[in-house]
Amino acid sequence: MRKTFHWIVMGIVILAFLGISGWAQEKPKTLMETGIDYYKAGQYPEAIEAFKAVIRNSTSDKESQRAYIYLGYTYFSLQELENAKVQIDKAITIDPDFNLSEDEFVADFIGYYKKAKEGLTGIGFFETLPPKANVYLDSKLIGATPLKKELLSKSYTLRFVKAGYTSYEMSMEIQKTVISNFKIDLNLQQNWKTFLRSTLVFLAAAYLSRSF
Amino acid sequence: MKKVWVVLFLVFGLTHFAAAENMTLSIGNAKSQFAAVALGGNIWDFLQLQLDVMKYLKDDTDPALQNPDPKLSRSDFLGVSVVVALKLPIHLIPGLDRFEFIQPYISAGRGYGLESLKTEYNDAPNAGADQKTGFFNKMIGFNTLGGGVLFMIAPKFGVKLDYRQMSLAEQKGIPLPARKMTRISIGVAFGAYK
Repeated sequence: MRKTFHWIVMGIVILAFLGISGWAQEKPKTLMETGIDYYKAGQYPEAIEAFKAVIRNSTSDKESQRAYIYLGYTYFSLQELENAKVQIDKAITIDPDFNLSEDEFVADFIGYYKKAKEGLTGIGFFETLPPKANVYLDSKLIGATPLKKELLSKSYTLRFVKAGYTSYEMSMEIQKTVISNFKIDLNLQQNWKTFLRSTLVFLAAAYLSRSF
Repeated sequence: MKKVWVVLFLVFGLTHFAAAENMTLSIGNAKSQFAAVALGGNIWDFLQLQLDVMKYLKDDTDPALQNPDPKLSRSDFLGVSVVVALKLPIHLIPGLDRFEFIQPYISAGRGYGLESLKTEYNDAPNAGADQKTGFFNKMIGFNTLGGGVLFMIAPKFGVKLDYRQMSLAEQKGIPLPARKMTRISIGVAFGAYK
């Protein structure tokens, strides 16, 4: 019994040691983090190369967008505004609804980003009766109603989908700096309530046809 | 009473189906091979009213119905029925909203038919106490109950599989039991089925 207890204590000590040593080990920095470090150190050419490498190798939109933003930020710091605008536009195209954090970027750059965004996006406000219908733009789910979303100014195929209701599809256009409202009453579409009513009528018709 | 229903069918058919929203042409098998045409229109959400006309392409092989005497042979069948179809909305089920093009349905209907189109048959008096002759008195009523599925492969064109159980009433004055037949058909549908 005492021997077992001894081994249990030893095991706990070894596991604790391994855990602490693992904790102490620093994770290798990602290319994005390295780029940000270069940027913070004022090594802009190295930062630019790092961000470009992230964009080349990235498999996620979110990571690409962050790299484009930092690339634009670096060009902005170098006063290469034309290059900065190109990168920022690419970032906005990936997710127009993304906003910069004041903790991460200087106010001038945030203002510059917002201005670039105004030149590319408008706002869509989506509402349905009843609410909580999924909103699809060009077959991509963007959220559930009621929903306010910044979108690139262009034409889309809009689709509202709610279980129990016939989905509603329409073409829509978002215009720069304009708030466009899209409100649909799904109760006017075929839905489970109208199906129940129809079922009752059908059953009555089926019964009557047999009693003639 | 039969005449009333026939007149009602005709009036209803003329008024409603003048603006039929869709049409189905089918061929299939019941007691014999048959061809059918159905005109339909939506009367409510998920409810469609159809006027269905079917005609045997070959004689029924049932020896009880066949007779070399044209006055007694009942191996043909021409039926007209009004059918109510309830469309089952699978697209209202979560995650299936894109499957509106698959439209299963159940159907029930009432119709009248003739078992021979020959003049001799029409002119021959009914057996038993009835002894009546003529088109209206030769008609037998039938009920249908069934279902099927329509695949809309284009906005106004679809392929339809249909199954119906037809219960034919006894012919008036003739001591034959009521018959049942299964009707299975495949057809093409034209028009908007939404």
